[in-house]
Amino acid sequence: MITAGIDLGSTYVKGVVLVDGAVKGWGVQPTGPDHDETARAVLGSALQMAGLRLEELGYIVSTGYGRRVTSLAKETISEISANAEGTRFVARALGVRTILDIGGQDTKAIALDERLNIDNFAMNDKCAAGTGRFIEALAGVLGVGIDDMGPLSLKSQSPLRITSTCTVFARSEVVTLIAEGKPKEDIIAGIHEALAKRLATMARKVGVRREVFFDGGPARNIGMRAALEKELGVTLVVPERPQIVTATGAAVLAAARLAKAGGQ
Amino acid sequence: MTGSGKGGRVLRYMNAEMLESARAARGRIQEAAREQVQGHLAAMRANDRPRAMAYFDGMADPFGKRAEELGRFRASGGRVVGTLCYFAPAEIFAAFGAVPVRFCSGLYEAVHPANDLLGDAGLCPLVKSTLGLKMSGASPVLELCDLVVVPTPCDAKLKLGEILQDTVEVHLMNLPAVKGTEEGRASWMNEIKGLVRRLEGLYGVRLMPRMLRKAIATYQRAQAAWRRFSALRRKGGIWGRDALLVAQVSFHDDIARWTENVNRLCDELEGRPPVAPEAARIMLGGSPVIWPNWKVPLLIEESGGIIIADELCSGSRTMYDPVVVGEWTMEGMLVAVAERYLVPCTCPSFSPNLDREENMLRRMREFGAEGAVFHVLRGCHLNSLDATKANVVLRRERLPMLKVESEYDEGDLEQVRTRIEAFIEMIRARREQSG
Ligand code: SF4
Ligand code: SF4
Repeated sequence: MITAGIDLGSTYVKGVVLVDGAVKGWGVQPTGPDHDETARAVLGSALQMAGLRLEELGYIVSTGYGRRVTSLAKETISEISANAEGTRFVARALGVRTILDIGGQDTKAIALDERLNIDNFAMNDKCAAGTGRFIEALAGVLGVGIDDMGPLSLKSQSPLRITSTCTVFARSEVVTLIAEGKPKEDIIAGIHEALAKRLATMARKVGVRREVFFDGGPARNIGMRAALEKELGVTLVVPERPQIVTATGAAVLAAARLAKAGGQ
Repeated sequence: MTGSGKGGRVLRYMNAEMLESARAARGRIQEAAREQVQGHLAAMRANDRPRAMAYFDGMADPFGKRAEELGRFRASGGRVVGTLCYFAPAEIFAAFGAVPVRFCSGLYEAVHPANDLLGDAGLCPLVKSTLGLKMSGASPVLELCDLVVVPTPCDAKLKLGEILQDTVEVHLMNLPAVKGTEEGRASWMNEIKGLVRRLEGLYGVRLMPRMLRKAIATYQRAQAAWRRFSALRRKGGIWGRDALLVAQVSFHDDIARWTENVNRLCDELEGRPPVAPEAARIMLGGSPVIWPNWKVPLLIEESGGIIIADELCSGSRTMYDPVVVGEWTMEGMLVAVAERYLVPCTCPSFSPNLDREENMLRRMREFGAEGAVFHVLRGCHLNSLDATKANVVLRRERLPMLKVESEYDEGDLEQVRTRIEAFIEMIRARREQSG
């Protein structure tokens, strides 16, 4: 059975090809002005990696902010459900009860029950405060590549306090700190802490139970992980490819639909 | 600087330029309203719905047929009073032969003119839209009101009542925050009597018991029809978005005619199969959802849910509770009217407000609701706080609740959609697990 999941996020589009219960290909691209076009390109590279053609896909499910704008998918599902589905798939045996996900414009905390069904969820309610955009925008101000943020922040001895989670205000705080000649690593560590605090508050809203799973692009950031672990006092479960968990969930769901319909 | 407005009113807060630019927006507001109303109705008609809804569709345009009718009524000497909120007692106006029209506004375009004055005050869009409606003069009905009666449940309405006085005669009704005490009831009773005196002065007539008796009886019939309708909703023969429209047509309709049409709708619903038997049964609560701000109801019902019950002051609560008269004396009737508006109302402006939580729980059980969506208009602190409390109480009973904050514009449409879809998917997954 061959299916695909596409996660059309606000900053990245992710795609996963699933063959008989195993991820065989994936792709990630920055979201272009044309969502549908980006989705096709991403799916194309995931298929190429799997050595398959588009016609061989039995069912496609889309998710994420732009899930309704692609003509590729037969069905859509919210990113909350897709993320939970993906987590069950990649970490079934690990006893995950809480999922934390930092996305481009939405940050989410999901609580799972004993059977790993969604019990409750919370999402940030406003703007880009406390989302992946927040880190990206501030990395830009610092002139640091997004992938260097994590390693750099680990060098920090005394993280600085960033008091605002509003991207615009935090940006001017950072500008001031740079002007004051504060070390970059301390500023970056402060940025991670600010975001971790915000995410932890959201997590506590739904209840933090172990194990705590952390996914979404920023979960690759080792400094972000460390800050969140410190804030929550737990060791996080981070999947090998945190960015594609939600897309994987959509592909798994597509497989379930296909199986139900009796397809191969 | 003060200027002078229509009818020689003194402009204390607004100024001439502000009003001029608001009036220039009149056409745009009317056009946008018409577009929104027709768009929503088209979407609502695309689905299986009772034939008797056609009447309510016809009354749905706030500037349409009914506005013309009221215009003729006023021109021939009829009386029209504007109201806000649930608390302005319809029976009292009707006793004076006046038609009460509730002006809580759901029009997004009308928010803009109010922003010129109040843009930075962090008020809910309902209040801004209502103010903008008046500033622009876009509502022909609001323009022909003799008086606008404004209860003061929250800060926003209180200040709205204050500012509206630049453009229209306003009567404020001081609503007690604590309703469960003797003092609370007595002060509300005083407000009711004050309103009667105000109307007596305005119209130059004395209120006689038979006038009030007749009005109470008319509304009792409306309330009975609405309760019959509410109970029938449980069978799922009607979408929640249609049920809410029925409630809100009562905001401006001729009440006897409305009652007749609700009963006709009920007759049809008796034998009607559910419109969406598989849908997740949702109870909608929170800040008022005011036509045509149908964002949340439409999203719920487009995402695999059905609003099987609601606890909105712009929905179920509008007509649900009857006036129960002990003694048909003037005093007895006034007490009955006063109590009807105060005691059963679960507006978040009251404290303590335990009956709201209990009401939600009871209603959810009665209607077999699988989850609650608690709608909060951005800026509405009272409902935001009640949402937080309700969430704790409902979850304790293992009933899931989703709090959605929303504005009048479409900017947050997709964000709200994601939350609602996820919530409904969660409910359905639960159902599959347990069934
Ligand atoms: S919730 Fe209360 S204050 Fe708000 S409109 Fe309804 S009755 Fe008025
Ligand atoms: S109770 Fe809330 S929605 Fe109603 S007028 Fe006040 S702030 Fe606005």
